Amino acid sequence: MAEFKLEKGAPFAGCELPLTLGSARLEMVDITAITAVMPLKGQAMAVVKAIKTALAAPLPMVGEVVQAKAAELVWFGPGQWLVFYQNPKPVTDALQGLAAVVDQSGGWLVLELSGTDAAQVMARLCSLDIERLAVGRVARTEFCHVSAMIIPREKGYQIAVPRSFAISVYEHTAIAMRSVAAQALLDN
Amino acid sequence: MRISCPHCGERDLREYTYLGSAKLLDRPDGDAGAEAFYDYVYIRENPSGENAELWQHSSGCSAWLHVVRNVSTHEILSVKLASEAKA
Amino acid sequence: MSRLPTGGQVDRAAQVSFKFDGKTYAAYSGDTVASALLANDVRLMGRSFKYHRPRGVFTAGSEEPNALLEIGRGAAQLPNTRATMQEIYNGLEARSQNRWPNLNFDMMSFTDFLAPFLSAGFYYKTFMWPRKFWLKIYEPVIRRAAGLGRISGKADTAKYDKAWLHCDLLVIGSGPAGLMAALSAGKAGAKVVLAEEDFLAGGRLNGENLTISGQRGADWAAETVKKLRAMENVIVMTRTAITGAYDGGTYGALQRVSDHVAQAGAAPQQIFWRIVAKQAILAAGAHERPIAFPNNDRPGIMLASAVRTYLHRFGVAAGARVTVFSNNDEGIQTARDLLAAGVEVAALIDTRKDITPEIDCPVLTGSKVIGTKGYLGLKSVSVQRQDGSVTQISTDCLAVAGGWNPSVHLSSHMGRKPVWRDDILAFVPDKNAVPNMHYAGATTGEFSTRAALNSGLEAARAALLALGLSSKRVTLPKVEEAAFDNLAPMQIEGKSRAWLDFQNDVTVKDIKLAHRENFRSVEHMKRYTTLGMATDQGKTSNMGALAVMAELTGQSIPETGTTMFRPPFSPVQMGALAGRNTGKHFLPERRLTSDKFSREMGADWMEAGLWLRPGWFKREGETRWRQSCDREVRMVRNAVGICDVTSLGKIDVQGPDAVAFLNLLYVNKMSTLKIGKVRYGAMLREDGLVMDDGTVARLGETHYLITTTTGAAGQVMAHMEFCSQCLWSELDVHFVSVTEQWAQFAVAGPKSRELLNGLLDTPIDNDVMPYMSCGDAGLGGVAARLFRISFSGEHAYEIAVPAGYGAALMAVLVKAAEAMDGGAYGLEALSVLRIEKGFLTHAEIDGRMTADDLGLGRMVAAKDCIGREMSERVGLVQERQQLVGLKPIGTVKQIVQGAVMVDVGAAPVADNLLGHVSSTCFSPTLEHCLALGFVKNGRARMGDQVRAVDLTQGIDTLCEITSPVFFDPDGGRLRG
Repeated sequence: MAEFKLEKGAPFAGCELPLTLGSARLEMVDITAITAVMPLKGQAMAVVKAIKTALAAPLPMVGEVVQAKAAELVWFGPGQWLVFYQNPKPVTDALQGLAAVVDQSGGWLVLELSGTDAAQVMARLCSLDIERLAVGRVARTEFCHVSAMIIPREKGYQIAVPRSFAISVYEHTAIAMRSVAAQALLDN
Repeated sequence: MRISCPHCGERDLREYTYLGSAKLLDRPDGDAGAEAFYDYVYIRENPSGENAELWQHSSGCSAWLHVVRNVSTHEILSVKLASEAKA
Repeated sequence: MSRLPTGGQVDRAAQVSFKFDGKTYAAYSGDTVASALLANDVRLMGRSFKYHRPRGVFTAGSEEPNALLEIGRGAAQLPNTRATMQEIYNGLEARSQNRWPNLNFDMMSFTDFLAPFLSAGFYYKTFMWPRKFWLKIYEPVIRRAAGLGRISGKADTAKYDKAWLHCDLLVIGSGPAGLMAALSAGKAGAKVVLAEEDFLAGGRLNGENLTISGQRGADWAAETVKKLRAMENVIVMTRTAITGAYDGGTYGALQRVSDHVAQAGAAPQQIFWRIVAKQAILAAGAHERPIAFPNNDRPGIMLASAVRTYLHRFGVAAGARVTVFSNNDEGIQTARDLLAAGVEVAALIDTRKDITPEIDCPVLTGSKVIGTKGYLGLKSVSVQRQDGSVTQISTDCLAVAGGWNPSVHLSSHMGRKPVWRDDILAFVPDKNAVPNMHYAGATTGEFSTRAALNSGLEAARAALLALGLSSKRVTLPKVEEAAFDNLAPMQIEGKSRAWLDFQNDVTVKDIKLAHRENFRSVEHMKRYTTLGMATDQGKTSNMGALAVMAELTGQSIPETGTTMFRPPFSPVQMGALAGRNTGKHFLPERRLTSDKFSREMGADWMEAGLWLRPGWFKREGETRWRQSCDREVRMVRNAVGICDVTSLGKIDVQGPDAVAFLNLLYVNKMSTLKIGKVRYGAMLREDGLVMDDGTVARLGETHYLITTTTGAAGQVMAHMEFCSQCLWSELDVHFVSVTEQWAQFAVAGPKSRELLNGLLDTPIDNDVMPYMSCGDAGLGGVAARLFRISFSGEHAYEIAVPAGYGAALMAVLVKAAEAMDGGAYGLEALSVLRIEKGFLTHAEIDGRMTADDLGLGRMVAAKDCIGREMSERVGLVQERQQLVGLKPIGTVKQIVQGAVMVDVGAAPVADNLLGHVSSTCFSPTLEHCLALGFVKNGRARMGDQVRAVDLTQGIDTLCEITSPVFFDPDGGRLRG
């Protein structure tokens, strides 16, 4: 047996991040852990109670995002939630036997698009009525033709995409940012 | 075309995948026999008007939806979760 | 014609120069190419499609049929650009089309003399004999002669964006109706998008000399636009044509972002928008009707409204001595406007008998134009007076006013035709044609400015009501003007041809021919004559043609009806529809965590769905892919190989009813699978054919991990979601994709266990990890999963780590492998290895095969599952083509994938088909070509000879039918 340590990789290696073009800025958001939580039949209340105890937060309603002190809970689909946090163990332990609990920490990457041109850039990448998406909501939709989660923040939009699409999503977003910036100059 | 997902609200067609007739919800029992399955898999009414269809919000929340749509006028008359349409 | 000393909305302080057919001219910013050419006394702008007749500009707008030019050069060259829509910029280069060697002298104009032989549909009656001539003579000649503009043949260098826009109200058109509607809705707080095809908002107001609330109409429009642009909730989009109305309140729109500047730079050339509007108002105005008369197509003959637009908007007199020909009051208005600007009016010819216009020019009432002269440009017109006598009038411009056709196109895009109104003798939109669309202004038959303004307000009120917003008070501006009377579409008979469709060269005679030959419905008439099928889509010709056909058939115009209007309203470049999704960006790309490492190793890449996977890893000295592939195969069989297999679908399945669910999805009985074991399984479609294959690993009491093929991962997931939500929602089962969560690597070969034991925290042996087992493992400080499964047929494992550690693990594995005479291997070698073992991919599982066809019959348990019942129907059970192996035994050593199977001595025709070849490879292990394929009753024909025939390449291979498992048939190497 050899002594060695596996290090975490850099999914956006080779991509300029943060990236500022015109009045839009793109940066990567660090995430530590993500857990998918799917309550077993008849255990919905027990799951709610366990989450309340472990995270002092309710389980989000359909399309909702809940900010807790040590976690962010996101509605993901019928009977499915994602928890974004640093320390999964207390939660995954508390949910034993109550829910199907699956590690998703490696599967998602999160980018944040901000700036006064953010909405214009989003319009080129996403068919959602982005202005009508309020803070506190999550939208699962296509972003750059990739299944994504869009969470609006005060300063912009957080976009979670599956890891393998990282480079593709970055390139498309950078192209849209460049285009919007150039068009703004043209209009002037 | 736009479909209103009960979870996600109105979204463009590109987020959805069409499967076929809502008849697919009524799968015969395993021992119902060949005729029953032949009918289930192949035989369809094909009205030029309201059709009950199954769509999945595949680029969204993955919910399967029961949609009643007029295939002549394209009007969508109702959308509900397929899991609730069965009962 | 020339530029008038004052007037117009061009910027006389901003002079620019441009080229037309190699000559340089001066113009002003704010000109179109059409107005700039007229200002420079150029009226010959093109040659017609069929007869190569000299043509000039006919309109001042989007409906232009004649003045189609090539703009730009090189890769950016754009043919068939309407000179009336192309904004002038400094350095613009334009060229006329469809003429050789030049516009003044076009060799092809002899076709005009052949006109009697070239009438509508002539190609249905000619070019048939001799048959041989078609391919070598007729077709190439016709191809060269056909078409108008030429594309450069180079890749388009322009960049296009595609984007989405959501609003409460989309107002289409910025004439008086549209402006009032947008203003009213904007004030009420609605989110409004006002789309205007032109670069200057205002519609007809820019082309007339009206007074609105004491201001010039054009100035009122400019002020209103300024107000709108200042509103935060209003977006004014000029240079934006709404191209189509689609379901769900979705509209296509083409915004010309950079067509009016010399260099787009990093900005897009155009943006194709999808605009989602809760409500819409179509205020697209109307198109003026021509009057058809003999030789009505000469340069200098144009619509009267165009003459007025060139005058008022561009400060250009369309002629030095203008004649006006009209059947309504607009003729009088045109003559008045010209005289007021100091332009000579040769005569006003009005078809109406009982009018007495007070105007300072010669007037001929109850008269009509019956002919024209002037080959390269109008010189004179022949007029038949009320008393029947004929006179010639010398003139260089004829302004024709035949009434108005509301622009209804968008309202018909969803299949409802417009409706006829007898009171205005025109078609207007069907009010119910498009859900949530309202109509205003000339589009709905309100031809006067006052009526347009009012109807804009009314339409906005209706839209706001539907939106649940209350209208605020908006004052209706004052307009003084007379009422307008539309007359029926008019044509004048004569010996010479009278044109209806200028662009496709279709005349009244052609309509009569169509009628004689019984192509009498408008849809037949359209296709037989090609009227209305050119780039202008018949905007100036449809109405005239159906009026002619109505008269011939004795039906009314509404009985004759219109053809169907379909998107796009005006031409859209293909590039705009592609947007940025071209070349490498056509589809999104999925990359493995080992992607960077593999690139550094110099891998050659292959596409597997959206994934990029290494095909092979070229080593020094290897110049052809087969060398790398063969080496990698030997490396795996003799030592150990590493392959990133992350792309295969992985789904985590949990819950008390997990196994019951799996039993319903797979043909296998999964309920007998023990914890720590893995089973190969197949899923069927409900029609009984195999959908996908993969493995099921039982990780815990109620915890399973299933795998799918790379290509079918999404399909299987959707299928599982359907089964769970729709068929068996009572089952307590929960699943989620973990394809992205785990980076997974095959470690394959006789030295695989040795390699892993050098890395794992806890070593393994055949007892701990026998063939088809699974379990947790640790290495490098990370919690991993280990599966002993094999797609190579060797002693092999797959090791999975959370994706963040994938890149690091790949490096560690490859380094360890290389130290043991092994290394990384790619898809090509993986393919050879599995073919040697008769393992399946979607080359075999192509949707037409049953489990039994594939040799998996024994896996099908006696229980219900998706597809079980239908898989047993007669057609899927008898005389089936079964999976076999094929070995070349003759002089031809190659078996071609896709080749058809026939018996020795049988002709390769449909009746003799026994099957096909699904996968082939050269086997370095066995040192000859191998193939997997399907042969009718193949399993009963082991040892028989058959032929694999590739008809496209003419390769005919004599083969022996063998077991599909070519290598290590007992599987001893797997189980060690």
